[in-house]
Amino acid sequence: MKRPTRWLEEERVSADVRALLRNAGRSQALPDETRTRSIARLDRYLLWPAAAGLLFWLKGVAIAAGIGVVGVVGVVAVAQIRPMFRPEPAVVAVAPTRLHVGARMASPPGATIPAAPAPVVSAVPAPAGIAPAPPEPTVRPAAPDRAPAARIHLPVPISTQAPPEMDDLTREATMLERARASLDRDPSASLAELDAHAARFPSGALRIERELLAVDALTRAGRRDEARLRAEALLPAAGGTIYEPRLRSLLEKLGEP
Amino acid sequence: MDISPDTAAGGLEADLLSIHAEHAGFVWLTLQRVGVAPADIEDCLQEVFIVVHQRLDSFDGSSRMTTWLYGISIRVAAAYRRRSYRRKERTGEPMHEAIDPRESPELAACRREAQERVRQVLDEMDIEKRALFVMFEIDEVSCEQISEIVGVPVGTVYSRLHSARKEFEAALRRVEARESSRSFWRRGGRS
Repeated sequence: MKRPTRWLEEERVSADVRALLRNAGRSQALPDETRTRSIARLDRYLLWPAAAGLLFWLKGVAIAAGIGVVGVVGVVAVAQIRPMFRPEPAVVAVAPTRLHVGARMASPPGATIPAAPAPVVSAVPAPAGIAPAPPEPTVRPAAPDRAPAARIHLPVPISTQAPPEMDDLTREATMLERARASLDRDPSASLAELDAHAARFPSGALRIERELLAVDALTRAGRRDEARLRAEALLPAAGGTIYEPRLRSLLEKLGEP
Repeated sequence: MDISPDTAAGGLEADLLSIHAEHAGFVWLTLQRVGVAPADIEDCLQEVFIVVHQRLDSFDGSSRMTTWLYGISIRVAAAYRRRSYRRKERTGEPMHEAIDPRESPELAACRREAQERVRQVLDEMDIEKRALFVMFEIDEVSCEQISEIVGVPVGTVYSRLHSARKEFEAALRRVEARESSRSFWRRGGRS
Protein backbone atom coordinates (compact mmCIF):
# COMPACT_ATOMS: atom_id res chain seq x y z
CA MET A 1 0.00 0.00 0.00
CA LYS A 2 1.15 3.51 -0.80
CA ARG A 3 2.67 5.49 2.04
CA PRO A 4 -0.04 7.94 3.19
CA THR A 5 0.53 11.68 3.31
CA ARG A 6 -1.26 13.84 5.81
CA TRP A 7 -4.54 15.34 4.68
CA LEU A 8 -3.23 18.76 5.60
CA GLU A 9 -0.69 18.39 2.83
CA GLU A 10 -3.05 16.97 0.23
CA GLU A 11 -4.69 19.26 -2.26
CA ARG A 12 -7.42 16.78 -3.15
CA VAL A 13 -8.82 16.94 0.40
CA SER A 14 -11.46 19.62 0.82
CA ALA A 15 -10.39 22.96 2.24
CA ASP A 16 -12.99 22.62 5.00
CA VAL A 17 -11.53 19.37 6.26
CA ARG A 18 -8.02 20.78 6.13
CA ALA A 19 -9.16 23.87 8.03
CA LEU A 20 -10.77 21.65 10.65
CA LEU A 21 -7.61 19.62 11.10
CA ARG A 22 -5.42 22.70 11.17
CA ASN A 23 -7.43 24.12 14.05
CA ALA A 24 -8.10 20.85 15.82
CA GLY A 25 -5.44 21.38 18.46
CA ARG A 26 -2.83 18.79 19.29
CA SER A 27 -2.93 16.59 22.36
CA GLN A 28 -1.35 18.33 25.32
CA ALA A 29 1.57 16.97 27.32
CA LEU A 30 1.10 15.79 30.89
CA PRO A 31 1.50 18.81 33.20
CA ASP A 32 4.11 18.44 35.95
CA GLU A 33 1.66 19.11 38.76
CA THR A 34 -0.71 16.42 37.46
CA ARG A 35 2.19 14.01 37.23
CA THR A 36 3.15 14.72 40.86
CA ARG A 37 -0.46 14.36 41.99
CA SER A 38 -0.81 11.10 40.12
CA ILE A 39 2.34 9.69 41.73
CA ALA A 40 1.03 10.66 45.16
CA ARG A 41 -2.27 8.92 44.44
CA LEU A 42 -0.46 5.80 43.29
CA ASP A 43 1.68 5.89 46.42
CA ARG A 44 -1.43 5.87 48.54
CA TYR A 45 -2.89 3.08 46.46
CA LEU A 46 0.27 1.01 46.93
CA LEU A 47 0.65 1.62 50.63
CA TRP A 48 -2.80 1.16 52.00
CA PRO A 49 -3.70 -2.13 50.28
CA ALA A 50 -0.47 -3.63 51.61
CA ALA A 51 -1.45 -2.92 55.21
CA ALA A 52 -5.08 -3.76 54.58
CA GLY A 53 -4.08 -6.97 52.83
CA LEU A 54 -2.00 -8.04 55.81
CA LEU A 55 -4.87 -7.19 58.11
CA PHE A 56 -7.37 -9.17 56.06
CA TRP A 57 -4.92 -12.04 55.76
CA LEU A 58 -4.56 -12.18 59.53
CA LYS A 59 -8.32 -11.92 59.91
CA GLY A 60 -8.74 -14.80 57.49
CA VAL A 61 -6.23 -16.90 59.39
CA ALA A 62 -7.97 -16.13 62.69
CA ILE A 63 -11.40 -16.99 61.28
CA ALA A 64 -10.10 -20.23 59.74
CA ALA A 65 -8.41 -21.14 63.03
CA GLY A 66 -11.64 -20.36 64.91
CA ILE A 67 -13.67 -22.54 62.57
CA GLY A 68 -11.08 -25.30 62.90
CA VAL A 69 -11.16 -25.18 66.71
CA VAL A 70 -14.95 -25.19 66.77
CA GLY A 71 -14.90 -28.18 64.44
CA VAL A 72 -12.41 -30.11 66.57
CA VAL A 73 -14.32 -29.33 69.77
CA GLY A 74 -17.53 -30.46 68.07
CA VAL A 75 -16.01 -33.74 66.90
CA VAL A 76 -14.56 -34.42 70.36
CA ALA A 77 -17.86 -33.60 72.03
CA VAL A 78 -19.75 -35.95 69.70
CA ALA A 79 -17.18 -38.66 70.37
CA GLN A 80 -17.70 -38.15 74.10
CA ILE A 81 -21.47 -38.12 74.00
CA ARG A 82 -22.07 -41.07 71.69
CA PRO A 83 -20.69 -43.79 74.00
CA MET A 84 -22.78 -42.43 76.88
CA PHE A 85 -25.96 -43.11 74.92
CA ARG A 86 -25.16 -46.65 73.96
CA PRO A 87 -28.17 -48.91 74.78
CA GLU A 88 -26.38 -50.82 77.56
CA PRO A 89 -27.45 -49.08 80.73
CA ALA A 90 -26.71 -51.99 83.03
CA VAL A 91 -23.16 -52.40 81.99
CA VAL A 92 -20.37 -50.16 82.94
CA ALA A 93 -17.50 -50.58 80.66
CA VAL A 94 -14.38 -50.35 82.67
CA ALA A 95 -11.21 -49.06 81.32
CA PRO A 96 -9.06 -52.03 80.52
CA THR A 97 -6.46 -51.64 83.21
CA ARG A 98 -4.01 -54.35 84.00
CA LEU A 99 -5.94 -55.12 87.20
CA HIS A 100 -9.13 -55.81 85.27
CA VAL A 101 -7.38 -57.98 82.77
CA GLY A 102 -6.03 -60.01 85.66
CA ALA A 103 -9.50 -60.26 87.22
CA ARG A 104 -10.93 -61.43 83.95
CA MET A 105 -8.31 -64.05 83.62
CA ALA A 106 -8.90 -65.29 87.18
CA SER A 107 -12.67 -65.37 87.01
CA PRO A 108 -14.74 -67.82 85.05
CA PRO A 109 -16.91 -66.36 82.32
CA GLY A 110 -20.14 -64.86 83.63
CA ALA A 111 -18.90 -64.43 87.19
CA THR A 112 -19.25 -61.07 88.84
CA ILE A 113 -16.32 -59.24 90.26
CA PRO A 114 -16.16 -56.42 92.71
CA ALA A 115 -16.59 -53.02 91.24
CA ALA A 116 -13.45 -51.65 89.90
CA PRO A 117 -12.10 -48.42 91.18
CA ALA A 118 -13.13 -45.33 89.38
CA PRO A 119 -12.20 -45.35 85.75
CA VAL A 120 -8.82 -44.03 84.91
CA VAL A 121 -9.00 -40.34 84.39
CA SER A 122 -6.24 -38.50 82.73
CA ALA A 123 -4.49 -35.67 84.46
CA VAL A 124 -5.99 -33.29 81.97
CA PRO A 125 -8.83 -31.42 83.65
CA ALA A 126 -12.14 -32.30 82.08
CA PRO A 127 -14.79 -29.69 81.70
CA ALA A 128 -17.83 -29.90 83.91
CA GLY A 129 -20.64 -32.02 82.59
CA ILE A 130 -18.42 -34.68 81.07
CA ALA A 131 -17.58 -36.47 84.35
CA PRO A 132 -17.51 -40.25 84.16
CA ALA A 133 -20.65 -42.14 85.10
CA PRO A 134 -20.62 -43.51 88.69
CA PRO A 135 -19.72 -47.23 88.91
CA GLU A 136 -22.52 -49.74 89.25
CA PRO A 137 -22.47 -52.21 92.18
CA THR A 138 -21.75 -55.13 89.93
CA VAL A 139 -19.97 -55.32 86.70
CA ARG A 140 -19.34 -58.06 84.32
CA PRO A 141 -16.17 -58.25 82.37
CA ALA A 142 -16.26 -56.11 79.38
CA ALA A 143 -16.22 -57.90 76.08
CA PRO A 144 -12.75 -57.83 74.65
CA ASP A 145 -13.87 -56.02 71.51
CA ARG A 146 -15.83 -53.38 73.34
CA ALA A 147 -14.46 -49.95 73.08
CA PRO A 148 -13.51 -48.48 76.38
CA ALA A 149 -16.19 -46.05 77.48
CA ALA A 150 -15.76 -42.85 79.38
CA ARG A 151 -12.52 -41.94 77.75
CA ILE A 152 -11.92 -38.74 79.52
CA HIS A 153 -8.75 -37.71 77.74
CA LEU A 154 -10.00 -34.36 76.56
CA PRO A 155 -7.84 -31.92 74.75
CA VAL A 156 -6.76 -28.85 76.63
CA PRO A 157 -9.46 -26.27 75.95
CA ILE A 158 -8.33 -23.89 73.21
CA SER A 159 -9.41 -20.29 73.19
CA THR A 160 -11.40 -19.31 70.12
CA GLN A 161 -10.48 -15.68 70.53
CA ALA A 162 -8.44 -14.01 67.80
CA PRO A 163 -4.73 -13.81 68.47
CA PRO A 164 -3.76 -10.62 70.27
CA GLU A 165 -1.41 -9.53 67.45
CA MET A 166 -4.36 -8.90 65.20
CA ASP A 167 -5.82 -6.36 67.56
CA ASP A 168 -2.47 -4.66 67.76
CA LEU A 169 -2.26 -4.58 64.00
CA THR A 170 -5.69 -3.02 63.77
CA ARG A 171 -4.65 -0.39 66.27
CA GLU A 172 -1.42 0.24 64.37
CA ALA A 173 -3.26 0.58 61.08
CA THR A 174 -5.77 2.98 62.64
CA MET A 175 -3.02 5.19 64.04
CA LEU A 176 -1.21 5.28 60.72
CA GLU A 177 -4.41 6.06 58.89
CA ARG A 178 -4.95 9.02 61.21
CA ALA A 179 -1.40 10.17 60.52
CA ARG A 180 -1.95 9.80 56.80
CA ALA A 181 -5.22 11.74 56.93
CA SER A 182 -3.51 14.80 58.43
CA LEU A 183 -0.41 14.54 56.24
CA ASP A 184 -1.55 17.09 53.68
CA ARG A 185 -3.05 19.77 55.88
CA ASP A 186 -1.03 19.38 59.10
CA PRO A 187 2.26 17.48 58.87
CA SER A 188 3.04 18.32 62.53
CA ALA A 189 -0.12 16.59 63.73
CA SER A 190 0.78 13.68 61.51
CA LEU A 191 4.25 13.53 63.08
CA ALA A 192 2.74 13.60 66.58
CA GLU A 193 0.53 10.66 65.68
CA LEU A 194 3.53 8.81 64.24
CA ASP A 195 5.53 9.48 67.41
CA ALA A 196 2.67 8.06 69.43
CA HIS A 197 2.75 4.99 67.21
CA ALA A 198 6.52 4.67 67.65
CA ALA A 199 6.15 4.91 71.44
CA ARG A 200 3.41 2.31 71.55
CA PHE A 201 4.65 -0.04 68.86
CA PRO A 202 8.40 0.50 68.59
CA SER A 203 8.79 -2.67 66.57
CA GLY A 204 5.23 -2.95 65.26
CA ALA A 205 4.33 -4.79 62.09
CA LEU A 206 3.79 -1.49 60.27
CA ARG A 207 6.93 0.24 61.48
CA ILE A 208 8.38 0.62 57.97
CA GLU A 209 5.22 2.30 56.79
CA ARG A 210 5.34 4.53 59.87
CA GLU A 211 8.88 5.61 59.09
CA LEU A 212 7.99 6.23 55.47
CA LEU A 213 5.09 8.43 56.51
CA ALA A 214 7.39 10.23 58.93
CA VAL A 215 9.85 10.96 56.12
CA ASP A 216 6.97 12.30 54.04
CA ALA A 217 5.62 14.39 56.93
CA LEU A 218 9.07 15.83 57.75
CA THR A 219 9.54 16.73 54.09
CA ARG A 220 6.19 18.48 53.96
CA ALA A 221 6.99 20.27 57.22
CA GLY A 222 10.16 21.63 55.62
CA ARG A 223 12.48 19.60 57.88
CA ARG A 224 14.36 18.18 54.95
CA ASP A 225 17.60 17.32 56.76
CA GLU A 226 15.76 15.28 59.37
CA ALA A 227 13.69 13.68 56.64
CA ARG A 228 16.82 12.70 54.71
CA LEU A 229 18.50 11.21 57.79
CA ARG A 230 15.40 9.24 58.64
CA ALA A 231 14.97 8.04 55.08
CA GLU A 232 18.59 6.89 54.86
CA ALA A 233 18.22 5.03 58.14
CA LEU A 234 15.12 3.32 56.80
CA LEU A 235 16.63 2.26 53.49
CA PRO A 236 18.22 -1.05 54.68
CA ALA A 237 14.98 -2.17 56.31
CA ALA A 238 12.84 -1.15 53.34
CA GLY A 239 15.11 -2.78 50.75
CA GLY A 240 13.27 -5.31 48.61
CA THR A 241 9.86 -4.37 50.00
CA ILE A 242 7.07 -2.52 48.27
CA TYR A 243 8.09 0.54 50.26
CA GLU A 244 11.49 0.80 48.62
CA PRO A 245 10.47 2.56 45.37
CA ARG A 246 8.56 5.20 47.27
CA LEU A 247 11.38 5.69 49.73
CA ARG A 248 13.86 6.11 46.91
CA SER A 249 11.54 8.55 45.20
CA LEU A 250 11.33 10.59 48.43
CA LEU A 251 15.10 10.45 48.82
CA GLU A 252 15.48 11.62 45.26
CA LYS A 253 13.27 14.59 45.98
CA LEU A 254 15.19 15.30 49.16
CA GLY A 255 18.43 15.17 47.23
CA GLU A 256 17.39 18.14 45.18
CA PRO A 257 18.71 21.49 46.40
CA MET B 1 6.58 15.33 20.51
CA ASP B 2 8.44 12.63 22.32
CA ILE B 3 6.46 9.47 22.01
CA SER B 4 9.21 7.10 21.01
CA PRO B 5 8.43 3.82 22.71
CA ASP B 6 11.01 2.02 24.71
CA THR B 7 11.87 -1.56 24.38
CA ALA B 8 10.33 -3.98 26.77
CA ALA B 9 13.66 -5.11 28.15
CA GLY B 10 13.53 -4.90 31.90
CA GLY B 11 9.79 -4.33 31.81
CA LEU B 12 9.14 -7.31 34.01
CA GLU B 13 11.46 -5.99 36.69
CA ALA B 14 10.18 -2.47 36.47
CA ASP B 15 7.89 -1.55 39.30
CA LEU B 16 4.77 0.49 39.03
CA LEU B 17 6.30 3.82 40.00
CA SER B 18 9.13 3.57 37.54
CA ILE B 19 6.69 2.63 34.78
CA HIS B 20 4.63 5.63 35.78
CA ALA B 21 7.68 7.89 35.76
CA GLU B 22 8.62 6.73 32.29
CA HIS B 23 5.29 6.30 30.55
CA ALA B 24 2.65 8.44 32.29
CA GLY B 25 3.10 11.11 29.61
CA PHE B 26 2.44 8.59 26.86
CA VAL B 27 -0.69 7.26 28.59
CA TRP B 28 -1.87 10.83 29.12
CA LEU B 29 -1.55 11.57 25.39
CA THR B 30 -3.27 8.31 24.46
CA LEU B 31 -6.23 9.04 26.73
CA GLN B 32 -6.68 12.44 25.06
CA ARG B 33 -6.45 10.90 21.62
CA VAL B 34 -9.25 8.46 22.38
CA GLY B 35 -11.52 11.23 23.61
CA VAL B 36 -11.44 11.13 27.41
CA ALA B 37 -12.66 14.51 28.65
CA PRO B 38 -9.94 16.70 30.18
CA ALA B 39 -11.69 16.65 33.56
CA ASP B 40 -11.57 12.85 33.60
CA ILE B 41 -8.15 12.16 32.14
CA GLU B 42 -6.43 12.16 35.51
CA ASP B 43 -8.85 9.57 36.91
CA CYS B 44 -8.47 7.42 33.81
CA LEU B 45 -4.69 7.74 34.06
CA GLN B 46 -4.94 6.43 37.60
CA GLU B 47 -7.19 3.63 36.46
CA VAL B 48 -4.68 2.61 33.79
CA PHE B 49 -1.87 2.36 36.33
CA ILE B 50 -4.01 0.41 38.76
CA VAL B 51 -4.65 -2.10 35.96
CA VAL B 52 -0.91 -2.08 35.24
CA HIS B 53 -0.24 -2.90 38.89
CA GLN B 54 -2.76 -5.73 38.85
CA ARG B 55 -1.52 -7.20 35.58
CA LEU B 56 2.20 -6.53 35.75
CA ASP B 57 2.86 -10.22 36.37
CA SER B 58 1.17 -11.10 33.11
CA PHE B 59 3.35 -8.76 31.07
CA ASP B 60 5.77 -11.19 29.46
CA GLY B 61 7.94 -8.69 27.61
CA SER B 62 6.97 -10.11 24.21
CA SER B 63 5.66 -6.68 23.23
CA ARG B 64 6.87 -3.20 23.97
CA MET B 65 5.80 -1.66 27.25
CA THR B 66 4.16 1.19 25.32
CA THR B 67 2.16 -1.29 23.24
CA TRP B 68 0.96 -2.97 26.41
CA LEU B 69 0.08 0.38 27.98
CA TYR B 70 -1.65 1.48 24.78
CA GLY B 71 -3.89 -1.60 24.90
CA ILE B 72 -4.78 -0.98 28.55
CA SER B 73 -5.47 2.71 27.85
CA ILE B 74 -7.79 1.80 24.98
CA ARG B 75 -9.74 -0.61 27.18
CA VAL B 76 -9.97 1.88 30.06
CA ALA B 77 -11.11 4.60 27.64
CA ALA B 78 -13.69 2.27 26.06
CA ALA B 79 -15.13 1.53 29.50
CA TYR B 80 -15.11 5.25 30.25
CA ARG B 81 -16.95 5.93 27.00
CA ARG B 82 -19.62 3.35 27.86
CA ARG B 83 -20.06 4.90 31.30
CA SER B 84 -20.33 8.36 29.74
CA TYR B 85 -22.97 7.20 27.32
CA ARG B 86 -24.94 5.56 30.11
CA ARG B 87 -24.86 8.82 32.04
CA LYS B 88 -25.73 10.59 28.78
CA GLU B 89 -22.83 12.95 29.26
CA ARG B 90 -20.79 14.57 26.60
CA THR B 91 -17.20 13.49 26.68
CA GLY B 92 -16.31 17.06 27.51
CA GLU B 93 -14.74 20.15 26.12
CA PRO B 94 -11.62 19.71 24.06
CA MET B 95 -8.31 20.44 25.70
CA HIS B 96 -7.36 23.66 23.98
CA GLU B 97 -3.85 24.62 23.18
CA ALA B 98 -2.50 27.64 25.01
CA ILE B 99 -4.07 30.81 23.69
CA ASP B 100 -1.77 32.85 21.53
CA PRO B 101 -2.02 36.46 22.78
CA ARG B 102 -1.43 37.69 19.24
CA GLU B 103 -4.50 35.87 18.00
CA SER B 104 -7.59 37.99 17.46
CA PRO B 105 -10.80 37.12 19.38
CA GLU B 106 -12.49 36.23 16.08
CA LEU B 107 -9.74 33.84 15.13
CA ALA B 108 -9.79 32.28 18.62
CA ALA B 109 -13.57 31.79 18.33
CA CYS B 110 -13.15 30.14 14.91
CA ARG B 111 -10.50 27.89 16.32
CA ARG B 112 -12.74 26.84 19.21
CA GLU B 113 -15.60 26.17 16.81
CA ALA B 114 -13.35 23.99 14.68
CA GLN B 115 -12.14 22.12 17.74
CA GLU B 116 -15.70 21.48 18.84
CA ARG B 117 -16.65 20.25 15.39
CA VAL B 118 -13.66 17.91 15.24
CA ARG B 119 -14.51 16.60 18.70
CA GLN B 120 -18.08 15.83 17.63
CA VAL B 121 -16.85 14.00 14.57
CA LEU B 122 -14.21 12.03 16.46
CA ASP B 123 -16.76 11.08 19.13
CA GLU B 124 -18.69 9.27 16.41
CA MET B 125 -15.70 7.12 15.48
CA ASP B 126 -14.59 3.72 16.69
CA ILE B 127 -12.14 4.29 19.54
CA GLU B 128 -9.11 2.60 17.96
CA LYS B 129 -9.62 4.23 14.59
CA ARG B 130 -10.01 7.54 16.33
CA ALA B 131 -6.69 7.07 18.16
CA LEU B 132 -4.92 6.22 14.93
CA PHE B 133 -6.49 9.11 13.06
CA VAL B 134 -5.62 11.64 15.77
CA MET B 135 -2.07 10.34 16.08
CA PHE B 136 -1.42 10.67 12.37
CA GLU B 137 -3.51 13.61 11.21
CA ILE B 138 -3.50 15.89 14.25
CA ASP B 139 -0.54 14.98 16.45
CA GLU B 140 1.61 14.25 13.40
CA VAL B 141 3.04 10.99 14.66
CA SER B 142 4.76 9.06 11.90
CA CYS B 143 3.41 5.73 10.67
CA GLU B 144 6.58 4.00 11.90
CA GLN B 145 6.07 5.32 15.40
CA ILE B 146 2.38 4.40 15.31
CA SER B 147 3.37 0.91 14.24
CA GLU B 148 5.63 0.62 17.29
CA ILE B 149 3.01 1.99 19.65
CA VAL B 150 0.17 -0.17 18.38
CA GLY B 151 2.38 -3.20 17.85
CA VAL B 152 1.42 -3.92 14.24
CA PRO B 153 3.40 -3.80 10.97
CA VAL B 154 3.60 -0.45 9.15
CA GLY B 155 1.51 -1.84 6.28
CA THR B 156 -1.29 -2.58 8.72
CA VAL B 157 -1.06 1.01 10.00
CA TYR B 158 -1.53 2.25 6.43
CA SER B 159 -4.64 0.13 5.87
CA ARG B 160 -6.11 1.00 9.28
CA LEU B 161 -5.45 4.67 8.63
CA HIS B 162 -7.26 4.37 5.32
CA SER B 163 -10.23 2.84 7.10
CA ALA B 164 -10.08 5.50 9.86
CA ARG B 165 -10.14 8.27 7.26
CA LYS B 166 -13.22 6.76 5.63
CA GLU B 167 -14.91 6.64 9.01
CA PHE B 168 -13.92 10.25 9.73
CA GLU B 169 -15.45 11.39 6.43
CA ALA B 170 -18.66 9.48 7.10
CA ALA B 171 -18.87 10.87 10.64
CA LEU B 172 -18.25 14.40 9.35
CA ARG B 173 -21.13 14.02 6.90
CA ARG B 174 -23.43 12.83 9.70
CA VAL B 175 -22.46 15.75 11.95
CA GLU B 176 -22.98 18.25 9.14
CA ALA B 177 -26.34 16.71 8.27
CA ARG B 178 -27.45 17.00 11.91
CA GLU B 179 -26.26 20.59 12.08
CA SER B 180 -28.09 21.62 8.93
CA SER B 181 -31.22 19.87 10.15
CA ARG B 182 -30.99 21.71 13.48
CA SER B 183 -30.46 25.07 11.83
CA PHE B 184 -33.37 24.39 9.48
CA TRP B 185 -35.72 23.88 12.44
CA ARG B 186 -34.23 26.86 14.26
CA ARG B 187 -35.26 28.96 11.31
CA GLY B 188 -38.77 27.69 11.80
CA GLY B 189 -38.64 25.08 9.03
CA ARG B 190 -37.77 27.61 6.32
CA SER B 191 -34.91 26.79 4.01
